[in-house]
Amino acid sequence: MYCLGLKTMLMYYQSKNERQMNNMGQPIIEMKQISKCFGEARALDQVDLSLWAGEIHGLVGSNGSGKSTLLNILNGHPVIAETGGFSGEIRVAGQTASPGSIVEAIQQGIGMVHQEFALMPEMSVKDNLRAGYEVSNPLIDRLVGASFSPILEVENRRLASEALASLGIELNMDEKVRNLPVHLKQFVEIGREVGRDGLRLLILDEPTASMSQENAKDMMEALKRLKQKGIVILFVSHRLEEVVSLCDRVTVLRDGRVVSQHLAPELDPEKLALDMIGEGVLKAQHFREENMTETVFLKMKQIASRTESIASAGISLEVNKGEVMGLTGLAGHGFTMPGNFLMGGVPWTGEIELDGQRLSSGSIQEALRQGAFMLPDERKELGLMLHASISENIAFAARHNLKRFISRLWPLPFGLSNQQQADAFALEMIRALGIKCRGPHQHVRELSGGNQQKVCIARAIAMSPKLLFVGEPTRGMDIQSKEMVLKLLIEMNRTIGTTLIIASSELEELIRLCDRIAVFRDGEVVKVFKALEDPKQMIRVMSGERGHRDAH
Amino acid sequence: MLKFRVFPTHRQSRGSGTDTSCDGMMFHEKGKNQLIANFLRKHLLTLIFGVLCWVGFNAAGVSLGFVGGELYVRTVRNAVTILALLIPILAGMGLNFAIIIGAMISQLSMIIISDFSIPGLGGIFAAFALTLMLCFIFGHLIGRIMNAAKGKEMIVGIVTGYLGSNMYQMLFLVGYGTLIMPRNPEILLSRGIGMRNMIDIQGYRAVFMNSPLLIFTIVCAAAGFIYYLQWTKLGRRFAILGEGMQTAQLLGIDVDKTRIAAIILSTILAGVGHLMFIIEMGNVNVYTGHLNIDIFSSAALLAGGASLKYARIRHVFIGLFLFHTLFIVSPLAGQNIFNSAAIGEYFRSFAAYATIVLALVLNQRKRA
Repeated sequence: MYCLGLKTMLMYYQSKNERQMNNMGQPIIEMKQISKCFGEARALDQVDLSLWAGEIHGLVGSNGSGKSTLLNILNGHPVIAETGGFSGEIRVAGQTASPGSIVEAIQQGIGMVHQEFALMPEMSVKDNLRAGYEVSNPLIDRLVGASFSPILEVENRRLASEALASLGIELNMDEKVRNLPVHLKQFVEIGREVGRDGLRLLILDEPTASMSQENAKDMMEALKRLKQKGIVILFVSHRLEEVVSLCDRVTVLRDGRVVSQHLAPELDPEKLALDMIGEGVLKAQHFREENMTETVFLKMKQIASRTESIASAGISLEVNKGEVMGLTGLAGHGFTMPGNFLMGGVPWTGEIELDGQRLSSGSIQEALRQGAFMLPDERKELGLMLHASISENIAFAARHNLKRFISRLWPLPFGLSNQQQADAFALEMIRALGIKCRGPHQHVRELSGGNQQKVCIARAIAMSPKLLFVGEPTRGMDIQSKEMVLKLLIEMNRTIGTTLIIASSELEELIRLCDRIAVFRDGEVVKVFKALEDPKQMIRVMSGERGHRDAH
Repeated sequence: MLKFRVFPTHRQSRGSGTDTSCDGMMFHEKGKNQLIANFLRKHLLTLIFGVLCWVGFNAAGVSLGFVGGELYVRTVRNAVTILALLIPILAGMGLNFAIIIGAMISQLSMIIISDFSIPGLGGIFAAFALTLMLCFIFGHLIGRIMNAAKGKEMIVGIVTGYLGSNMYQMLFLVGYGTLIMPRNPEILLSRGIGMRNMIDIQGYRAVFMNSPLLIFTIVCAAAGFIYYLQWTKLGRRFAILGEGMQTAQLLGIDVDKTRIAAIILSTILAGVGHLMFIIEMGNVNVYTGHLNIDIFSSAALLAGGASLKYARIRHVFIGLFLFHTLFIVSPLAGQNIFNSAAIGEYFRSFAAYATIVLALVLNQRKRA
């Protein structure tokens, strides 16, 4: 009954949308009846999607709703072919053209900008912008073969500049990409795709995920310019406000199906959120200063990096016992660094006191002994063992540092892993934190981003830390998972009195959760605000009198 | 139009000197000591070799002219083989220890041409042509093997080299005289099965060494080809691969094909380089002539300042100069200091392996 209702509603929406979109021209991309299974799990189920020229089309959905799979199919990602392909039909400009590889997708005018940058940090902006499609002399191509033909540097420089200029951006073409801040790297990625001949569809996967609001606005302006050129943009984001302000049409995916489509004047973040999750979301809220004491638990005095490649000015910061402290700033300004210093990831100079004890530089063991623990912002790279099970990920740190989940075999001087205990604890955590999985033995790499973060939090719970440092706890998560994760963190603070330091670029979340917020600029704490102070003031301090950009 | 410039906060210096474009903003004010420390760290291997060469040169008590003459000969023998290592490093595959297969192919080619008694320059060109052809085929095979074990290219290269070496030895020990009947039975052992240890090619040596222009052209052409390659589309694809395989794949680059191309070119250069080596020596040491060329070439390149991820032509020639100067002076220095040339001989083998180990450790530390 419900399904029938949903289908009727969807048909109504689609026919209404298509009637309106027909006025905009012919569809450039048509996806019909797209289905995809990974093993027994159905990731996409009969998805229909049409994209018209000059349209910015939003694609939203919770983690695990099938967005990434759909993008991978469109982009010809090898993972699709390696896992048995897909069923359904894709038509590009009226021609059947299911891209079987990334090269084929590019040939058909489909370009993609990835959430985790596909850039070469050691190469120049110019070389990145023309990577893979450098211009050479056709005559020499014929003589020596295209591969051995020399690249026409002057022509490439001109085309690279033009591509960026079409986004309204000017950059030093010889600057190495590793030196660029995150938002400019994103522009370089978009510029690379825009510079390709015959680009019809530009797919953007969470382009603003690691950007400040100010930089995200610049990005959206650039996308509007592209739209005017007739390029279709498929914009995937968890930031619903951005989706609403930018997109002409939005498709909502849930559990691998299209549940609704919305047109621009009717777009509403609340409606989209409701369609995404099928129910309302209760936002996490911290009852401030509930557990906070006057005792200083962590004291950092003039901490600077000893590693030359990491810029830090000298961080001075005090965090009280039981406090929820937020750290924020613009991307690249070092607000996630205190955790790396504290946990010995980066050698430092200065003075760190934790619970009254002075720590030595680079010693993770000392920090762990004093009850500190960190969940890094780079979850996949540093926070998880992707090829190990959920149970192993949850139990690992506690087993090795607290000797939990170990059976002592007297009189042997060592213990053995107690897998049963670990599995039982993992099961308890799966239930308590609502980790969507098949069981404690499922590999973590198979989980969605939100569920992976929950596994990280479960590991932190197993450690029962006195101080927990969390880097970007909600990056790349859907609205429901975000609130769930934030609630869990607050629960830890409330129930076991864990002092929390949350480093995040999401100011709105910090304002809701934290007792105090330290704003970073140029690798140092510029000001510490009480959370209830004016957010505009915080943003002004974040940007600084000397902004990051000269506008002309 | 928004005009952006990169502020020092984002610019991560990489031992490139003091960043003074700070616009009044704080960044690392590197002291002189730190700059010196960075320089020492970056060029540690080269400096160690420089010091060892200087000590060895003084202890050996030889003239600069003698060392210069020897270095010329060794440049002819080894330069192209070391150049063969550059392309796989550029393509992110590390040191190609499988160049030993290129060396075996060049020995095989020379033996075949010598057996067919093709005289003079014609014979030399025929040997080069056969080497190029076989190196192309075997380079393709090695590339495919390495593609099947991505991320473990160096260990795969070593083991493939061992496998190739054993098959090659079996071919000459058992194959010749049974399956393959040479035209000239003199090259077989007296029992009629198996190749002799040493095949004389002095005739070719005389022609080759009397054509200094040819030698100069081959070395320059190899170096020039690699330099030119950096400005071509293929060279750029190698560079993109060197930055990350996954990135290259997402950019629509055919990763497998490009990696195979890198190994083919490397194997061809190794074959050509070793062919020059054996012709210059005037004999083919059938069973052991190819052994260790991978280790010595790698050590020379690393001594020149290259790393497992970054290598340029200048590193080849600096390494050639330092590593082979040490090779030239160490037996004499051993004789003069310890009254035993053997100690000097051991020392240079030790130096080769120690260089590779040190380079691996330093590379790992950089990554950490």
